[in-house]
Parts: sequence; C-alpha cells; structure tokens
Amino acid sequence: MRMKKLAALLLCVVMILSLTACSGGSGGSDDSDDKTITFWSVFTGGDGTAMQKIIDAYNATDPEYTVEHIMIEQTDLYTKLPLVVSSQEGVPDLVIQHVDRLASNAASNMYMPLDDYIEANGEIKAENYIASAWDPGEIDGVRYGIPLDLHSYVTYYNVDLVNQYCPDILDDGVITFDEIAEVAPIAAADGVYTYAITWPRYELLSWYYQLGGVLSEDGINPSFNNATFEKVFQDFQDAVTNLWCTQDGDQPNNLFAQDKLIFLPEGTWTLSTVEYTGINYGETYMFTYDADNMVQWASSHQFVIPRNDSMTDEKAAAIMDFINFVGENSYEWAAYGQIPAHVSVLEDSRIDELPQKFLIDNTDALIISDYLYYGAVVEALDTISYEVPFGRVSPADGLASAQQIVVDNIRNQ
Amino acid sequence: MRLDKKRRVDIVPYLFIAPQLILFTIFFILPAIIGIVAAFSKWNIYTDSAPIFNGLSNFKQILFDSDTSYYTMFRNGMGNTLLFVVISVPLCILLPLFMAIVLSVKPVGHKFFQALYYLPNIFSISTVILVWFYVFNRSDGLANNTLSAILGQTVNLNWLGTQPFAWVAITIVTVWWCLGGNLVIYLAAINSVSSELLEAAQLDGAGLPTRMWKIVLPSIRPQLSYTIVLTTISQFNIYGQSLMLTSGGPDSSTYTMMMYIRQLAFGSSSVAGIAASMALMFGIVMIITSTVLNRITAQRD
Repeated sequence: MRMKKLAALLLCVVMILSLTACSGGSGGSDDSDDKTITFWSVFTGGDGTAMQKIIDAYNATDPEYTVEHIMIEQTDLYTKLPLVVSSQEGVPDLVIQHVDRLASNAASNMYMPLDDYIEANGEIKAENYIASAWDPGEIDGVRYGIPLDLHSYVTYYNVDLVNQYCPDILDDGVITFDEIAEVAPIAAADGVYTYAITWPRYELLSWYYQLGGVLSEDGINPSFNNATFEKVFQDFQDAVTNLWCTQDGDQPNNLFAQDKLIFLPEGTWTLSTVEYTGINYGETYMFTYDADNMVQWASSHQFVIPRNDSMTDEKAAAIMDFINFVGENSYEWAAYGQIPAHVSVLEDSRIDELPQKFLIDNTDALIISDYLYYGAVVEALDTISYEVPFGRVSPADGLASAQQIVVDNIRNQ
Repeated sequence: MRLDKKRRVDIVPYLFIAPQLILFTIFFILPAIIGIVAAFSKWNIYTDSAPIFNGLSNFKQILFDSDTSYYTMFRNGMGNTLLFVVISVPLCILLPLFMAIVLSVKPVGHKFFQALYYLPNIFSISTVILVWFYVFNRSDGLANNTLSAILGQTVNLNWLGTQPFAWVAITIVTVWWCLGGNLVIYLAAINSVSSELLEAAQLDGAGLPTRMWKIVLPSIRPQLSYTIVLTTISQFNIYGQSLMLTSGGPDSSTYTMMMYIRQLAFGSSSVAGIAASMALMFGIVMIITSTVLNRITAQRD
C-alpha cells in the first residue's frame, strides 16, 4: 500500500515538474540583466540568411547588447505575438512586422511608442529614410514602426524571348497592356506564354489603383466591389482564355526557365530563385494600364518593439542603435532583391549592378495601403485571385463574395 | 470500523490518474469550455479585450442568415467535409482489411510489405503532401506521365485544379497516408483468431473466402468497430491535405470545415466567435455520427 502511494506521488511530482519545465524558458527576455536583444523576424528563407549576415556584422562590432535572431514563419509569428504580449511572458525585444499589420495592432495596444527612443538616439530620423516607407510607421501622430525595406512585385523578363518577340517593348522600361496585346497573340501562336499567374495579389491591386480604384471610400467600409475591379479581373481572365497567360496547373518558374514564358511576374524577394535558373534575365516594373500612372503596389517590413513591461531605456537605446546599424548597412538586404528603406544604400555604388536598381531610383511609384482592414481585404482577395482568372468564378460574383467576407469580418470583430 | 472505512478517502487511485487528469483538464476540458463560451461571443483574439457575449447571433449568422459569408462558408465546409468522409472512410477501412487478409496468409515477403505499407503513417502531412504535389503536377508529374504511357496518348489532366480529380487526388493521398494504422490493427486481430476454429472449418471444407467471411470477420468485430469510429473522426478533421494540395480549390470545392474555422479564428481579422460557433456545430455533428456508427457496428451480445 505504502509503495503504491509512493509510486503514485512520484508520478505526480514528475508530471508537475515536467509541466513547469515546459512553461519556463521559452526564449523570452524577462531577465533585466540579460544583455541580448531578442529579435523575431519573418525571414525564414534566403532573406533570413541575408539578415543574419547583417546581424553578425553588428554583433562583431562588440556592442553592449548582442542581437539574437529568431526566425519564425510569418503566420506563426502573427499568431504568437499577441499571445506573448497579452501574457507578458517571453516578449521579444524587437520584431519585424509587415506594414499592413501596424494600424490594427497599434489599435490593439500591442506596440510601444518609439518617439522618445528615436529622439534619444538622434541618428534615426525621417530624412534618412524613403518617405513612402517611413510615413506609414506613424499612426495618429505616434511612431510605432521604423522601416527596413520596401518590397513589391516586379516583372522578370527572359532577354532572349524579348529580343525575339518584342525587342522594343522595354525602351522606356514600362510594359503597358496595349503593348502586351500586340505581342501576346504572336507568342501564343508559337506556344509561348507572354505572362503568368503566380501570386496575383500585388498585380491585381496595382492594376486596380492604376485605373483609379480605392479599397475604401470612407476609410472604414470596403468598397472594392465595382466595375473597375471587374475590368481588372475580366482582362486577367481573358488573358488566360486567350493563352496569353499561363494555365491552371502550370509551373510558371519552370516555363520561364524553359524559354516558354516571356515575362514572369514575381516578388522582389524571388531574385535569387530567378538567378538560380541561369537564364539571361532582366527586371522591370509590373505591367501597367497607363504609363503615366504606373502605381506599383508595395509592402514594407517594419521594426517594432512589442509592448513589454520590463523594457528599460538602456535596452531600448541599444535596440535603436541596432536598427540604425541595419539601415546604414543594408546593402546585403538590397543584394537579396529588396529595396532598403534607408537612404544610405543609395550612396553605395554596388547597387548600380542590382537588377532592381530601377525601383530603388523610383520609389515614388511604390504605394502602400493605409486602410485599417487591409489585412482582411487581401485575405478575402486571395480566396478569388486564382478562381476568377482561371474562369471558375465570374468577376462580379467573386468580388461580391470577397467584399462580403470583409464586411462580415469587420462587423464581427 | 465499517463507518471509518467508508469515511476515509483513499487518494491513491486519484494520484495514479492525476497525470492524465491534469493534462486532460488543461488541454481538453478548459479549452472546450472556453470554446463553448466563445461560440456565444464576439471575440477578436488579437486584442486584450475579453469576449463580448452576443447570445445566439453567431449561430444565427452561420445557420440562417444567407446574406453573410459565414452562412456560405459553413454550408460549403460542412458539405465538403461530409463528402470527403463518405468517400474516404470506406476506403480507409476496406482496403487495409483486404490487405490484412492477404498478408495474414503469410505470402513471401509479407514482413517487408507490412513495414512498407505502414511507412507512410509515420510521415508528417507536410512531407506527404510535398511528395504527392509533384506526383499530381500537370506538366511534369508522375500521375500524368504514367497515364500517358499506359494510354499511349498525352494526358494533360489538371488534377488539383478540376473536379472530380481534386477529390480523387486528396482521397488517394489520404488513403495512402493512413492505411498503415488500420492495417496493423487488423493484422493483429486476424492473427489472434483461434487457429483451431479455422482448421476445423478448413477440414469441413470451407474455402478461404468462407472462413474469412464466417469466422474471421465476426471475430474481429470489436476492432472493426473501433477503427471505423476513429477513422471517421480523423477524416472529419481533414485539414492539411486540402490546405496544401488544393488550397481549398477549385472554387472552394475542397475547402473543409477545419480550414474555415482556422482561417476565421486566426486570420488577420480574427472572428473567433464565429469560428467557435462553427466548431461547436461541427463537434455536434461528429459526436452524433460516431455515436450512430458505434451503435451500428458494436458487438450486440
């Protein structure tokens, strides 16, 4: 009997101990003596390697606080951050967020205001950053984000195919749909696609804005279910039907590498993948309806400090030093394909060699949404952004259902 | 003396079940209660604010209000999930059962095949999908190339983008992935069927099919019942296959209940109340289905 009791007690103790072991030490920085800056980023691909290079360079300068880089898949990071902030357990010191998350997260009291820290630092200031990346970091007069970069969708082109089908199309670096309409039927006759459906979000929004559309008329309710967006979707659908554009189930990257696709729309962040194919390629703007109004939809990675009761001024100052260091040393980030937000990179002569130089020189074309429910809009659009072009849903039905999702989500928040 | 014995609470049994009980409470009972409360509330999990009670509004929206997108999502998700359960559960039961019968007569290399069939079971769903995604690739995939070779003409099926092929693909992957688990259970059950009984039947002139049908199947009835219920529940929870293979397409026709629930609760605009009410309705359907199945299949003696 006694043995039994002892065994049972032992089991319980082991159990409780293992439970407490699970909850403890989950990578946070509650310890105020701790001289590390815990930095969560969404860079799980080649971008993680590029960022790590910059961080290693920073840690090599022997700073008082060293940076520990933790890469987390972005949907996991976005789910995890609110939980650690509200429990104040294991809150990271510095986090990368997509700019479209800033407004809603700031409204949920998830970030610390950075104005005082920035002022104390003195090196971080508006004139050091590209305006279109710097501006959205401020919400209702309070600064929450400091930009790392701008990123967008671009058109990679197969130089050999361009020379064969449309040698003059890139004279001005801009490809209009009128020009595409001339090239595409000829290429299609040869079994060559002119462009591709990859991840249509950036293109759809760029085209919609080029035609004068907006996501929300009043800044609150979505208003993108209209004739303008229908035209964008209809044109895309027609391009698929006419074999101007790749078909459902195709692998655009492979077709591009096999000389069966002239223009590959992809992210600035895909540069290394395109380079890897080994073909002779170039990079230019997304297709445009109007060369005089070539809105290029973009996003931005921003540094934020999550709300943290144990944050000290000393540590915050160290974080600011680090952010400034990244800004001043962002060539690595440009080499990876992105457009660094810090102007220092413009003075680096090495950027002349980069294929995205045209965008670095023309960041005015890049537009970032400031709509509070932008996150809900793009998720809703993603549900139809393949279905409509591939002809499984009509533009009108697709847009109606996407807009309804946003309306419902806003109402049920 | 007697009274004393009655009054004394013996804590030993409770201590023994405590580890499981603690885990069960923390990871099942508590979340279940929170989920039920959430189903009657408006709740954005990304904010600090607690769920706001809003009565039956969530259920009204998903069940009756045909103007909201949740109504469409719930119907579509439930329909797709039920369809998948109806297609995949019989296959996940009958195929392993047939294979177990074949393996139980111990053909050459049966140990090897047993291990081979069980192997996919230990892979994570992501690994499984990565492999099959390339098999079903339209231009370079193994599926189309094999069909082309067999039929002697180019097959250009868009497996993951057209119906019914998207369901066929998802079902193939699922059956391949999960048949090993049931196979092992059936093999063990068949091996434990009394050999005297089987020999006696054989002496009486019963062939293999008769022995299987009249002796083996009735003997392994408890295991059959158990696997049918468990397989049904696990197929209701289909998530990874359709998320990664078809992203719920074409035209949301493979969008399952679990996908909607996760998207609504943890999407960038979190409507966790709606998600919880869907989960609750979904849970009720699962409980009813498995109870009915259990009643039908369980031993009646």
